[in-house]
Amino acid sequence: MRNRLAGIFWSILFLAVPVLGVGVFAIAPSIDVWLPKDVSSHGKEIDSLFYFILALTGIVFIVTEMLLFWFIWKYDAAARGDEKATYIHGSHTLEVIWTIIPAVTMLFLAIYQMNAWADMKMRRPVMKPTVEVVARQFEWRLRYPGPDGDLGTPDDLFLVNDLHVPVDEDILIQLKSMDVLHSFFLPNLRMKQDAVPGMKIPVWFKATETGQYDLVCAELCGWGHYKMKGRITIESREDYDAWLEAKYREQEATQPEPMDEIL
Amino acid sequence: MTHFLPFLVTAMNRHSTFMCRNRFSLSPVALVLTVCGSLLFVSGCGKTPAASFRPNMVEAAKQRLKPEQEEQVATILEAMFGTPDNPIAMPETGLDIGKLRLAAGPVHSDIVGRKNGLFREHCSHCHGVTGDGMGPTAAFLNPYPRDYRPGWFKFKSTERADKPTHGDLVTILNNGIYGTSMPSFELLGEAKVDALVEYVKYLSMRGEAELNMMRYFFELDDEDEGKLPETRDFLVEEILLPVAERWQEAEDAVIEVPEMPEVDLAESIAMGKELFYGNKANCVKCHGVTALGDGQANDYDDWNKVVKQWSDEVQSSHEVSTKEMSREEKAEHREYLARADKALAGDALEPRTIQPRNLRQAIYRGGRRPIDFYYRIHAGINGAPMPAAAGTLTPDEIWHVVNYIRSLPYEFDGELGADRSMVARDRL
Amino acid sequence: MLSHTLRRGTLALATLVALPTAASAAEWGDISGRFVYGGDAPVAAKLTIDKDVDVCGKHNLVNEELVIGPNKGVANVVVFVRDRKIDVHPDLKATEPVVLDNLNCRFSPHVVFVQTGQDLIIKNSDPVGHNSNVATLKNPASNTLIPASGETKVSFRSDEAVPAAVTCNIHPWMKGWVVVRDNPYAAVTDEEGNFTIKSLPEGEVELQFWHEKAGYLDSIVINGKKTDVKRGRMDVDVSAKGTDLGEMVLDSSVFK
Repeated sequence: MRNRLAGIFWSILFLAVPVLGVGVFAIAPSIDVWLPKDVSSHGKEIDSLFYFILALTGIVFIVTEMLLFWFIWKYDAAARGDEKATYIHGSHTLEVIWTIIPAVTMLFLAIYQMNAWADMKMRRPVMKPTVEVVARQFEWRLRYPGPDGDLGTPDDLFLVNDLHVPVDEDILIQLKSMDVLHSFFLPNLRMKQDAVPGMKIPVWFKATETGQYDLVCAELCGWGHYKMKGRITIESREDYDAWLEAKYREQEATQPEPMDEIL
Repeated sequence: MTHFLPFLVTAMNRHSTFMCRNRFSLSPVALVLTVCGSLLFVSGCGKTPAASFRPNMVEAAKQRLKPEQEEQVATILEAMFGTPDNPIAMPETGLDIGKLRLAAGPVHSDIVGRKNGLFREHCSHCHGVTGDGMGPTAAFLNPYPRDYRPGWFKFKSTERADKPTHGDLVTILNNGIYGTSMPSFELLGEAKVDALVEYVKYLSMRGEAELNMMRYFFELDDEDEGKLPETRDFLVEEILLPVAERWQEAEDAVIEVPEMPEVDLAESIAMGKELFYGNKANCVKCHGVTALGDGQANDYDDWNKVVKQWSDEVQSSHEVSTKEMSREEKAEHREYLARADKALAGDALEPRTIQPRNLRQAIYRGGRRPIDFYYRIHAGINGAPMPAAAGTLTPDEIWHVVNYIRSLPYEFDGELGADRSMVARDRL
Repeated sequence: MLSHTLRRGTLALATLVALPTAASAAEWGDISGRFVYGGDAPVAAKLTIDKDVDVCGKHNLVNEELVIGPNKGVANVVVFVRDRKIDVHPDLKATEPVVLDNLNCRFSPHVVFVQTGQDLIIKNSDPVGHNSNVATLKNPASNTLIPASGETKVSFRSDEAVPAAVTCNIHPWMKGWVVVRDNPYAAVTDEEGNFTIKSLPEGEVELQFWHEKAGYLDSIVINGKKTDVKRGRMDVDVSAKGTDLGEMVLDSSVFK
């Protein structure tokens, strides 16, 4: 009797895992713990890929979990008395089926997403970098090329953590790392790219809406990983130019700023 | 969460023992749960002891303070400045207790949901709870995190010997110090940065007051019997005010910067170059003929120099023969050496030499605005070997040097390629 | 209890400045003495000159941490009066600035004595640039660039319990010392080991002895007898006839 009670307890506990898992997914969008707002031109494609894969794996998950529980319930030794299990050496047909189905699915996914991948990682806009982002423990150092559009010239503008970009324009970021692996992650722009020491990695996107969003590090880079919180401000071309000019003027200051501006 | 977890774990433990007693056929699972739960309980959820400030062991050992003298310093300091969880701002310090409370203490939310304990959240793992630059991560970093206790600050708008202004420290927190491990904290928001700066000033004043007291024992007269007078007059006038007043004076000690002379930039750069290599400004001696910062490799900054010199002294004391000493002298000598070794190993980081700045990388720790360069050259860098040029160079000459230095990362410096701007671009 | 005393009352306290009181003693006398090295004088080590070799290399510079004269006198021992509230002889008002020269890539003199409020002029008589890094503890430390034939002025607000080192960051071998006191009663021994402090008020004063290599001299042999001088402090009677402390021998072990 006690054994039976314990068995029921654990069965319910383990059954709760898949049920709750599916449940959380089902209600997540309505309690705002779902994908962050998308403000990028390519985000829709990424999101639909995500949904497609989620649906596919979700269905497989539900079906296999149900099968698993059904088998456990159906072939419960206690309920079936002394009935003896049959020994089989394996089924070649079954093996072939459950190898080919996932393989075909994977292959399909690989081909299906190729265009999205190429858009994000291969078809780079032909332009000079809008800004260079140097990741380091534990901040994002930014360098804008200044009026001449070239990095590495005396009119470069140096900033930290506060990334600004114009809206509705192609943005090309030159991503570097000074020390270890970091990952440049803009959740609202569906953009994530590892920064690798020694490499200059191009990252591009087009923002579709103005606003301020998070810039975070998505690769555990050391004890201060959590500190690598930056900010991206997407603004109109006029605001962006005005901001650049104001920052440049600040950088070229030959007199102290008035106190109230610092504080 | 921290309150909830121990409860949960205890409940789990209780539950599993209950199950064992009732001979459920689950003992392996119960055992695993119990072990995990207990581990969690022991490691993460126990009540942490209240944080305390570390005494300046190096100075105490150096001044050969007796245990009761160290204790007296600690008692006075606690009366003057409180504890890491409960700071005190005596009116003489001019510090704002509201800001200090926001920055002090363990990380927690106060009654209105505002986050407190900012210093421990953001700063103490490098700078230490005491502000001694010896937090758990300090030894990994180069340069070492700043030790606030001697009261020296490098990057500021005031004269060399003066304290930085409040705004100077805010700027450092906002911009970080590029080229070191100090990151930017601008996105924390003004109020938090402001509170952290206030707390840094507090820790610095506390550390300097501690140093003042530890050094004062040497000056005591015999009739003081090795005890500091505990009168308000002495403690405020001799110990606290000499430190606090200098922080308050800083706001009026900002260097006046004359406007940049109106000459052609190229001309100004040429004049700056002449000064850089000439005998008057002498920059070349340390920053090197290539300006790569390779002119002087064996100097120390003041923080490291203190440790270096004393550890050399201790080292040579180790070599002194004890043959002619009386038994008491010998015991005293041994005790001093043991204590010195302990202080050097446990309360100081291995001293490192300081490199003059490589001026071709476009990485400047104290800021890259022309005015930042002006301050650096005018007043030198407090705590570092960089001397003050004020009085030696005229303001116009300082501006020429500023312009030259700012041009260095982009200067074409050889026959490396046909395209001169490519050279600079590859370097950066 | 202590915290209570501290926190009570926020009275603005007048700043008390320990000024030497005006002259009132009836009689004045000098103190003199001589420090002698006990043992064979060590040979001063040659310094390695690796900066501005063409200028500094030709002066055969040696380590000046311990300078012993030809007659075994110990040079550069600092002797000063500890008493803060001592009567000062009216003729001893310090007006002239004290000069510390960067000469031949060394500090000249090696140890310089300056009073609070008095100006210390650090000049450079060399054809190369120097900087003078004054590592005071109670006074704000200073470090100024001094070009060839240039000079800079430093002054001190309060006295220093320990003489402050002066170094040049360009030429790392250069080291000198500044003694800062708030009265005129201090002296530095010459190559013969002799010192004289002039015109002290009659009565008992407390002297303190310091040497850069030994720190405060706490073991001195007087009349063949080893005397413990706690923290380098010694009470001395000043008589109007003059007080001669005679020959004080510093054993070689003091300098280790």
